[in-house]
Amino acid sequence: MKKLFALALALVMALSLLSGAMAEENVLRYGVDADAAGGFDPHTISAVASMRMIGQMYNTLVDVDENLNVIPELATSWEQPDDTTYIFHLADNVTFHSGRRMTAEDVKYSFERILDPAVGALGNSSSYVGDIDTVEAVDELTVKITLKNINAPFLANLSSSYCSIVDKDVVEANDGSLLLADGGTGPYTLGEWVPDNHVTVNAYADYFDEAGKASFDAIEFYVMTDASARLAALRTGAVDLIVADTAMLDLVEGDDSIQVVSYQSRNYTGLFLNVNRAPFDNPLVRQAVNLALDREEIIEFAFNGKATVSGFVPASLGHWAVDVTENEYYTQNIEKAKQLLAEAGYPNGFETNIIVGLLDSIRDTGLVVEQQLSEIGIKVNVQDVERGQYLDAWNGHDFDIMVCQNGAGSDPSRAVAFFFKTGSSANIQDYSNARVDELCELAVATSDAAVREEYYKEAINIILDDCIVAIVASPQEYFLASPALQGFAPNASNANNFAGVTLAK
Amino acid sequence: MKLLKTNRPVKNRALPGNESLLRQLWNDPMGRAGMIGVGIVILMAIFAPWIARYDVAKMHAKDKLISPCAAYWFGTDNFGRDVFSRIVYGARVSLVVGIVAVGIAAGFGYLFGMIAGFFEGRTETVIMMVMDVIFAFPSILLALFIVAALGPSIVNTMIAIGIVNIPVFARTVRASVKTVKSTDYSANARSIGLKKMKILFKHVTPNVMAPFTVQATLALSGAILTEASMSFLGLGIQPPNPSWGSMLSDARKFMERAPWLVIFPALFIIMTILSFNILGDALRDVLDPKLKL
Repeated sequence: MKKLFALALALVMALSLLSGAMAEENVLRYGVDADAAGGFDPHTISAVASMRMIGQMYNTLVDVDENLNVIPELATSWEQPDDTTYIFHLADNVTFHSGRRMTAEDVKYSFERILDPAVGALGNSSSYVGDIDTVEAVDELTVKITLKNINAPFLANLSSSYCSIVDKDVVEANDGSLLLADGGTGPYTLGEWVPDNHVTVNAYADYFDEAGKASFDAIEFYVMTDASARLAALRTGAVDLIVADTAMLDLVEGDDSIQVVSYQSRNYTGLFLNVNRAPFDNPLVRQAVNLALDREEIIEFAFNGKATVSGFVPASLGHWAVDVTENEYYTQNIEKAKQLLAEAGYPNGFETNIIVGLLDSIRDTGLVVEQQLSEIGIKVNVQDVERGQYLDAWNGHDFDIMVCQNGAGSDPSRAVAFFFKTGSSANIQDYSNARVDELCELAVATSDAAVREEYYKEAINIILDDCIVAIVASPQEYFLASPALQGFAPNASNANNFAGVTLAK
Repeated sequence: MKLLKTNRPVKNRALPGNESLLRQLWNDPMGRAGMIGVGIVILMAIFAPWIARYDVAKMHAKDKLISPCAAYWFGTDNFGRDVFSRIVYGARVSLVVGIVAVGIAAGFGYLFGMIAGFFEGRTETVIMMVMDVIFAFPSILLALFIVAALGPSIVNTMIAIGIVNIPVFARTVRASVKTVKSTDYSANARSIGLKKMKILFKHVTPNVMAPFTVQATLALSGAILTEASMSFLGLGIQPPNPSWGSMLSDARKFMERAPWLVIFPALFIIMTILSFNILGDALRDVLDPKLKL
C-alpha cells in the first residue's frame, strides 16, 4: 500500500514537472551587458541599454532601413509641398497601449513635448527636430510640420527614438514623465523592471502592423554585466541570446550549439586630441600622433581583429564615407612622425595623459596607443577612470587625449556637425574651423543629395587633414544565440529588431 | 672535567632569548617556511629588472594568449605581454605598497597609541574614539572611499591602506604602554625623576616593540591583499603597470581560454599572504615572553 502510494506520488510529481515544461511560455530571454539607465522615457533617455526596451515599446513616424532609406512606420505616406513643409498621413488603426486610438493630435503633442525646453528632450536640436516651427493636425490622420529653415536630413532624423510618438494621457497621469510609464504604440508593453536583475516587456495584442507584431509572448532582458557570466548563461540555456564580447568569439568557434550573429556598426573608436592645449595645438604634433599609430595592430589587440580601419564617418554610412586608407596620415610612418615632432620643437618627445574608461575596447585601445606613441618619444600616462570621471572629462572638455567611442548616426549632419561644428554639444575639443562650420550649414540647407555629399566630403577632408582626431576603427558588433533562435538579423539602424524572430523549441 | 662541561653556557637551549631573533625563527619550521616565502618575494622585487625576461608593457602581436612555454614561462596575456615578467614586477608593487602603507599605519599608530596610553585622560578618550570610528568601517570599503576621493594612483592607494590600518597599531601600542606603565620599573623611573619623554622612549618603547613587530608583519599581508583587491576593482595602480590584483581582474574575460592568466597571479598572492602570515605567527611565538622559558 505504502509502495503504491509512493509510486503514485512520484508519478504525480513527474507529471506536474512535465506539464510545467510543456506549458513553457514563448519567451525570449536575452542576456544584456547593462541595466536600463534611468528608465524608459524615449524623449529624454539616450543610454543604449534603455534603448533596447524603448525600441520595443515605441514607434516613430518613419523608420530607416539598413541602407538608410526612409520607410513608413506610423506614417503610411508623406509628401513635401516645399522645402520646409512636410505632410504625413497616419495609419488609421494605431492604438496606444492604453487602448486609445492614436490620432494627429497625439503626434502634435509628442513634438510639442520634444520642443518644450522644460522637458529637456534630446530631440530638441538641429540634428533632430529642433528646427520645427509649427506642427498642425490638419485632420484626424494628417499632420503638417513646418520647419524654420531647410533641414535636409529631417525625414531621416524622425526615425530616431528621440522622436517617438507618445500618449498624452499617460504623460499627464505620470506628472510629465515617461521614465517608469509606458505611453507607447509599439509591439511590446513595459512589464516589470527589477533593477540590476531584469526588465520584461510583454506582447501587445492590438499592434497595428501585422508584419511588426510581437512574435514572443514576452522578452526578458537579463542584466549580466560580466561577459563570462553571459556566455555561461547561454551555454546552460538560461538565456537564448546574449550581447557578445569579441573575446568570446574564439571560445565558441566551431561550436554547433551556439550561433554567431553580427553586423557592422556605425560606431567608431579613436583618439580625440585637445586642440586648445599644448602641445596638441600644434598641427605638426597632431600629424605625428596620427602617423605613429599602427591601426591594424590596435584592431588586433583591442577588438580581437573584429573591426575595420575607419574615420569618423564609417564606411557603413555608405556614400557619405571617405576612404580613409587613402589619407596620408593613416599609414604608420615612425620616421616621418619623429621628424614632425622635431620640427614642432619636441625632438625628444613629451609627456602627456590619455583618459580611457567605460568600455574594454576603449581601455585596450589606450594601452596599445601608449606603446605605439612611446616609439616616437611621447610618454603617455594612461588614466583608467571610472564612469563618472570619464563623463566629467567629456562634459568639461578636460583632457589631453581622450579615447572615445561615438555613434556616427545615420546622416553626416550628426557624424560631422554634431562632433566638429563650432559650439556643438558633442564638440568636446572646442574645435573651430570657419570653413567646416560654413559647409555644415550649407549642407543642411540643401536638399540636393549630391551637393550635400560634396559639402560634407570637403568638411570631412578638412578635419582629416587637420588631424584633430586619430580615429582608429569601426567595430563589428556581435551577438551569440542558441541555434533555436531564427530570423534574428540585426543591423546598425536597428540592432534589436525582433519582428518575425522566433524560437524553435 | 665535569665542571668544565657544565660551564659551557654559550648555546643554552633553556635560554633561547639569547639567540638572535633570525636564528630562532630559522630553527622553527613554520618560521623557516615563512622566511623562505617572504625572501623569495623580496628577492623578486629587488632584482625584478634582472629576473624579468621582457619589458612588462611590451606587446607581442604575434604571441597573443600563448600558454606557458620556453619563451614565455607563465604564458602571455591578450596583448602578448609576458606574464612572468609582469608577475615579477607585480611583486615590487605589492611589496612597496605593503611596506609604505604599513609604514604609514605603524608610524601614526605608534604615535597615537603612545600618546593615548601614556597621557590617558581626555587625550586618550578623544584619540581612541577617532580610532574606533575608523575601525568601525570595513577596511576595503574605507580604502575605496579614500581612493575614490583622492583619485586612483599608487600613492593614494598606499595612503588609503595606511590610514585604514592605523587603529590596529594604535590599539596594540596603547595596550602595551598601559601594561608597561603599571610595572615596578616604570614606577621606579618616575620616582627618580626621569622626564616623561625619556621614560617613553627608553623604557616603554623597547617593551612595546615585540607586539608591534608581530602586528606589522601581519598587517603587511593584509595591506598586500587590500592592494590586490583594490587593483582588481580598478582603483589601484594604473595600467600598463602590473599589479597581481589588476592582472587577475584583466584575466577574468580570458579565464576559460587562458587559465594561466588567473592561476599565476592568484598563486603568487596566496604564497605571499601565506608566507607573511606564517612568519607573523612564528615571530609572535619567538617574541612572546611567556613562551621563552
